[in-house]
Amino acid sequence: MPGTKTSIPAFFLSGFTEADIGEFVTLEFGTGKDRVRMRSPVLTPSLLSKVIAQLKEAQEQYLSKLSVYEIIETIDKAVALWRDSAYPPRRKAEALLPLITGYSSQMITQTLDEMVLMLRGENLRLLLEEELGDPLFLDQFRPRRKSEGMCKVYGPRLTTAVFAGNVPGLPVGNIVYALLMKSAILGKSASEEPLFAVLFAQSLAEVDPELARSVAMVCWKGGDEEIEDVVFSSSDAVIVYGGERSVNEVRKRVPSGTRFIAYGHKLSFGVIGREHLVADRVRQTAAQAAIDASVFDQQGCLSPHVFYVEEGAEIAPKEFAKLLAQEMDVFNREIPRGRISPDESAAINQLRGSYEFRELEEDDVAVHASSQGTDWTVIYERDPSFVPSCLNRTIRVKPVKDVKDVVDLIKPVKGYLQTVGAALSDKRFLLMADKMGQLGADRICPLGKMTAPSLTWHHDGRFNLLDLLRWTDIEEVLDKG
Amino acid sequence: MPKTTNKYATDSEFVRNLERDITAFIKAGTEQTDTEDKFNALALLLFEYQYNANAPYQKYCAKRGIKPGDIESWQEIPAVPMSAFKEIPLCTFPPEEATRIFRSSGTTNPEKRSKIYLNDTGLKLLDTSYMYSVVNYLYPSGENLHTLFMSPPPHLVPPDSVLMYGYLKILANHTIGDIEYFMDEKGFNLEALVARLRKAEETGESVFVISVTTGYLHFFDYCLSKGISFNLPEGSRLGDGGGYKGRSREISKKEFFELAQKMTGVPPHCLINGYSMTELQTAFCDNVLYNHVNGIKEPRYKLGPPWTRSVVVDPETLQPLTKGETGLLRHYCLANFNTVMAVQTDDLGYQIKDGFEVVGRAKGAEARGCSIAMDELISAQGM
Repeated sequence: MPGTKTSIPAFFLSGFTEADIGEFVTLEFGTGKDRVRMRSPVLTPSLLSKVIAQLKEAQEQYLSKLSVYEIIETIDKAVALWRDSAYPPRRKAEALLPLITGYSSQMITQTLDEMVLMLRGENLRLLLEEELGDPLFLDQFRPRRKSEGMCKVYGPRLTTAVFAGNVPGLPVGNIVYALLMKSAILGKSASEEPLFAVLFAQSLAEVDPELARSVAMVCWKGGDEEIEDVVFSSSDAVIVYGGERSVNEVRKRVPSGTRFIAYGHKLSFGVIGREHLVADRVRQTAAQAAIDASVFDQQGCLSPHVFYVEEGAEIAPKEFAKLLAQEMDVFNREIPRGRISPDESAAINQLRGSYEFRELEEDDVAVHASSQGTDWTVIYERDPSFVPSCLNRTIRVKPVKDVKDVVDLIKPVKGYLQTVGAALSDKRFLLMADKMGQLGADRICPLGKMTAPSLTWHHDGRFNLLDLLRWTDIEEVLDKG
Repeated sequence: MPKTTNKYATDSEFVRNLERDITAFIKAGTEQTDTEDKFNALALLLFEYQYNANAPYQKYCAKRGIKPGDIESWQEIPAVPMSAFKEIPLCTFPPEEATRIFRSSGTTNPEKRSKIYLNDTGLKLLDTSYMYSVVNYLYPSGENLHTLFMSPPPHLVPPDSVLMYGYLKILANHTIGDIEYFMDEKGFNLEALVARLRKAEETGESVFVISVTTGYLHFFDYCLSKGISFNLPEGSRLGDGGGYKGRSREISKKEFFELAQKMTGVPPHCLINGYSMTELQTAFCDNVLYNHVNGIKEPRYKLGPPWTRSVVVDPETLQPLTKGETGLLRHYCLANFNTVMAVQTDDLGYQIKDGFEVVGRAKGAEARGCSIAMDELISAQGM
């Protein structure tokens, strides 16, 4: 195919030559001079079978024989390469990801910086210790912590992960988790962002080419039964990110004995108490709220849709909305909102329009909007009912008499709760955490940190590794007598 | 004594004169040319009226620093986003004095439908505008046809959208006998429509079938499942509108026309796509039949009548785009007498020649990944 040689690979298949792969399709992102062309293999069941066979062989022959600390070291080295802003894959990511995803280059740079910090070796050790107690359970039979006997833990031989494209870099976390469990991983890139995971896999290959043979990143059209039958029937674990419909589609096709984990639609919001609405700290509160509502252009499931703001403080909720608007503007100057689709722009403009007309007639509504385009929008609305945002930095501020009132307001969406960002005194923070925990939220964090969970976060209330691991126990102590 | 001395009262001389002039402009029909100056003059007067008689609109304009007298061209008249009609009454008289209130179909959220308040003057202009806007395009030779309407009869469902109301008036004037309806409380009466189309084939009397686009998709699926197709008499035509996104599938406009021709034998120049909305008191439709009859060779597009202007704006900045670029359609309509003449839609389209073509409706915000979009949440909650 002409031109494909110069386009960027949207796949990582270590050990496969272009001739082995055969045919490619071209993926196009952006327009005009900003156009990015990537090439992606045309997957066939037979090619995938070969890929899977190689992944399993690499897992068995190499990955499973490494000690967990050797794996951590390799990952740490690969991640450390990205610390250098001149590292060619990093430069490539910084140049291309804005064009591919639409996120501003500042947003991409910040994402990369955070990834480098998050996936450091010491954090990986912490994650393993947190979930397993002793990481060496992955390497050998070890005495149990309380009971008699010993046990060892085994990861899946092959994990398949179906990614979503809202937050760049998300697949890197899953690649790392899989490797920590000594599992090979076959990732299905989101069509919106097939680059970053491929670049990261290349970094792994730089540090340890043998280990990188346990990682494959490809793209196929979701729902392709021929392909998915091969993939799902060969996997020990399947992880899916996406909307309810796509998750259910995959769920139906995964054999019943296979571990299946779905990360479906979730939503988050923030709560701001009186104690943070006083003159000397309200500016900081607003700045933290602006970070939460702006990072990843609000596309993450950790991004807030609404801020509930308590009445009765020095700064009233309506006034807070104005301050938040100023901080949204400050943030936007530093890290601009990315490119969005005409549909998304139209939705924001229509939303602004309808609130603007209500603002003309009633005191209960106020609209603050970026002076140009739809970069950010803050809507103050007295009606406290929870309304999902149309995203891309469009946030509502709603007053509550007492933060306790939030519990009832949020009940209609309790099945979707994810993160609650809270600016509250310690005591009220704990009370709120318990109420939200009961409703199903899996993370209560300080305002300003909503989109930056720790590596040990119980994503969707579950363990990141433990849910995929399998234990083998030895009950009798050997050679006892 | 007149009721009031307010220059912009509904019965004032200013308003009556304006109504008279706009009515005359509309009645001069779609064939008039070089209307730019006339349109501009009337648009500025209408803006003056609406600015002064519609308080929320005045505030909206004031926020943008625009008032009558400051502007010289209709392009500068602030356009109101369609969503505003869902929030508050936007009319030049107290809403309780409305003769008639129209509602949009409210496809995404039935609770939130646009409301258009018209008084007698507004209603009269709506009638006139609809009558004159598309008649030439639907019936270029002034002919009458049998009308088969895939809609419930008005005694079953009184028309509460502007387009239903307006089209019933147009059709009534060009129908042989009575309009025949093929929908009732139970839904489409597809068997009856099949029988009626067979009858048309037998008698050779041409028919005008009217339906929302998805109604055709439904009908064609039914016909395909039964292995039925038609070869309707010459002069028969199909009118559709409302978009190509059905409950089960979405097809392109081109695919729709191909399918329609295959299923009914009606040639492309008799397949007329219409475009209307409750917020606009004028209808638009394809130029194909008109051009065919008049021997004009032009691509298919919609040519607004002389009392309207349509521009395309950047969805992000709402600034006008150059011809051919796809963006959001914004319409200026002198028949929007009682409401607001400049309406910003969320329909995607582009300008072509002196008219425009519609690409589709902006889908609203679709979350890119695991975050939840509004529509999905609403459907998940079963609201």
